[in-house]
Amino acid sequence: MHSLERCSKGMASVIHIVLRVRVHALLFSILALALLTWLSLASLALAHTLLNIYDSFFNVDRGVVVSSQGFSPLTALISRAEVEKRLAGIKNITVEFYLVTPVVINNRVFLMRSSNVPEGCVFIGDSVARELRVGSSDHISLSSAFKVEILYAKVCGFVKGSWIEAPYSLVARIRGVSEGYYSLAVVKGSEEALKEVYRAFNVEEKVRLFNIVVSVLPRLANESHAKLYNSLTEAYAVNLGLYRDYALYLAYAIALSALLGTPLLGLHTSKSLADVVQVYRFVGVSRRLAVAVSMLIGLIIVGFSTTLALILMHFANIFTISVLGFTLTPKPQVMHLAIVAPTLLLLYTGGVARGVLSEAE
Amino acid sequence: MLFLAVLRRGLYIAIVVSVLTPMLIATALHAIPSLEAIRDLLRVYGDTTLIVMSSEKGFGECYVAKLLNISVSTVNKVIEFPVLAVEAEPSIFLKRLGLSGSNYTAVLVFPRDSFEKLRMPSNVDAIVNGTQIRCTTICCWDSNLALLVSKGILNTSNSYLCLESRESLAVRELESVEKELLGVAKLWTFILILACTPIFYAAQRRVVEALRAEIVVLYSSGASKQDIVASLASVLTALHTASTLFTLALSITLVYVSWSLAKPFIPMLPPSLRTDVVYLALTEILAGALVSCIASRGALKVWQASYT
Repeated sequence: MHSLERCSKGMASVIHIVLRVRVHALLFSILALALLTWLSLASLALAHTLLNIYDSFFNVDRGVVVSSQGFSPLTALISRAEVEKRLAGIKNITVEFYLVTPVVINNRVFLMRSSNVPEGCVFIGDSVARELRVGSSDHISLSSAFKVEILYAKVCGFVKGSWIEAPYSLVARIRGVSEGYYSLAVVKGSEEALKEVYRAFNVEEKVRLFNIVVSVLPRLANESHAKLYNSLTEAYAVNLGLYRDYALYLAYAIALSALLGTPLLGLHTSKSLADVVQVYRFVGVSRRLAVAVSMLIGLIIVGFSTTLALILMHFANIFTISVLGFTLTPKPQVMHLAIVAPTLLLLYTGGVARGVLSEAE
Repeated sequence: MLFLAVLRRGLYIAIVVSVLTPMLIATALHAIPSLEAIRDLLRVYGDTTLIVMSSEKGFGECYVAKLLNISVSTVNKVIEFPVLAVEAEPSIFLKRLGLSGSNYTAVLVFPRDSFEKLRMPSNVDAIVNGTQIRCTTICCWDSNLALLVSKGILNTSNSYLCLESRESLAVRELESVEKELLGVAKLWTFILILACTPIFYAAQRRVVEALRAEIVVLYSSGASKQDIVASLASVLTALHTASTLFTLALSITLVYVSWSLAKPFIPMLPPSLRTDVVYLALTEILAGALVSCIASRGALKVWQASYT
């Protein structure tokens, strides 16, 4: 107990001295690490946003999605009657059908989805309205991206978002599909009810039930086949030959390799602490204690730089991508921090400890 | 002598490690498959013509056009409805839309439902911006508004109607997505190179510290402090530049080798390297050269430490 008290007092005094004489060297490391952590977190968050683009657009949340094989919801089609037939008799579920189409307005492509909007009207997303400079009661021309057709609609209101909402008939006309066809259906309900939904589509029950997508393929030899995906974006991207998991691994590899140079910074920090360590070694501080103190200093530096990176992440939103009128911004997840911060801690304090060990020898 | 000492003792490893990460990431991000690889896929998208309104002369064939409300007087009534007025020769324009336009001077094309509902006669008088125009009516086109085509109806307008192929629109959208992705990648790697500058400094200082004995020998044999600092700066810059170029070459090889190895297992589009990566390499070389000027001053500290 007594030795523990002496040890912690010793540590406190070493940290105090280090902060007084070497604060500039520590600030240098904090700033460099903060920038690297920010870049690492931002790349992961942007990859996450990109790889979940459809999931957030349709507010899938904890629902099950029924769609068909296609490159995107803009090309996939399901029959409402067929889905309703399969789901008949299942209680406590809500089913929302969406038809989505690209629409060209003022030579730019936007997304348009079916909604409960009066005939002849459209509701415009606030950011789209700002971009097109249209106000309430204005008339706009909507061009189909699939056939020779230009339509005319009145702006009757605004919605929060980057898309346009229109009555089903208008969306179907622009997309060029017959009545009763939709891009996808989102089924929501209790866990038990969703299990029944899976059974209705002949999908085996899995342990992880939520966020799983059922894709109903077009009828082949009078049978419809169902496939399971972990994300709506994956269900579509896989048809383009893009595997979401591989893209995610690549994002992790890039984010973590941005931190690969940090052991060199750790070695440099230990170099700037060398004279302090030497003095303490001279007055009898053990090598183990010297290494422990430097690792503690490393931990404090990592703590400060991670905090600074999170602040940067919140205020410096410079990594944005504009696609189909959407502005995709990085959405940081706790998981990303849980991967980046320990990696940084391991690499940086590893460098510090290695440096101090060789200095102490 | 300093350069040979660095090479003989393998001190360049620290510098190669410091420059490797930014260069590898820059190359990987600038080698994402290009649109060229999927252009053939887009051909199946067909050559259908799309009609697009635009506030500026856009892509494809553009005509001055405007959304207007016009009044039409038929035998016994006056009706007001929206039209898309296009300033063009009717015979040419209607042919482009696949409609039979013939040789009329002004043509009013109706959507099928309103044409039947209004029981339009073959000729009507339309009032456009206060001017009366005699139009020939034609049925029908797929829309919910009528189309008025004539020469001299719109002298000035700030909007256009463009006829663009479906493939061209798809290519344009994909190109903009590619541009956005590459833009973010470029900005991210640029900041990464700046953020790695302290790491370049740390690596170069390690080299300077390791050359302690050589610096002392040079000083004892009469070289001035300035000369030693200048020679060190040149050696560090040369090392940094060579390491950056080496890691650039290594990264390009790695990207293509990993693609060819992964190809049999995962269907992947071929990588296509952008020249922007050269500019990023130049930024890294410049950052390293600036840092080497500061790091070489560490020789003075080494000298002081040796003589105190």
